[in-house]
Amino acid sequence: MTFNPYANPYGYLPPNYQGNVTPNIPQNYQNNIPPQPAPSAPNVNAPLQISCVVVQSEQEAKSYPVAPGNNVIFKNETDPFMYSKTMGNSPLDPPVFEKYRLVKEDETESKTVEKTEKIDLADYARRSELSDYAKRSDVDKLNEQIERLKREVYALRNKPDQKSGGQL
Amino acid sequence: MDINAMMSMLGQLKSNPRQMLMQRFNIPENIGNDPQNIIQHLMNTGQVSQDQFNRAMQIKKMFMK
Repeated sequence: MTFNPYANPYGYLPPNYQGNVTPNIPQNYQNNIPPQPAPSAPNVNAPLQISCVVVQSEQEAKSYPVAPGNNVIFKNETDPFMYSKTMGNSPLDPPVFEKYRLVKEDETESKTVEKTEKIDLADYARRSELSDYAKRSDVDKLNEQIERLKREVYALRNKPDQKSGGQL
Repeated sequence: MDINAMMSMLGQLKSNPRQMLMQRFNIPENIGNDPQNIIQHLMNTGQVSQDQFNRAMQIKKMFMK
């Protein structure tokens, strides 16, 4: 018995486009093609699969095919950007494309940030408190100026008497 | 496998691979010849998963380098 190459486990019977029929293939082989399984719709309830793909440009990330209900993260290997492309559960939903800038975290800066976070905020005055203090300070200064002006007025009032007293 | 049968298969694949694959994966004619559209259709219909496509692209990049 000769081996039939078309009786493969995938159920595929390749058509002969030249019209040459090999002895093992029936004449009506086109009708013997087993029906392909109906395309299965993507599982809507499946959890979102996330994968990372290295790309060279933003355009490449934008044009990268993404299956419905999936999210693909792209890392730009030439520029410090990362992209995210998410497809909704329906193929009709428009893809959501997001762009992120990568910022290198410096260790010294991060330590400084940690130190500033440890500072007790109770040691600092609020803006409203400072405003009140500034107002009180202004009032005190005005009071001082008023007192100084009163003294000058008093001195000026007494001055003509001294002059007239001198002339007399 | 018979060498003649194998050569016949290869000949068919070489002569019209597009139609053979279109028939195999139930790809409608209106999808066109754009590979992006074809793979999107395959993923939309659940015939190819995102992970499979990503791995295929990785292999392609390995050979393209």
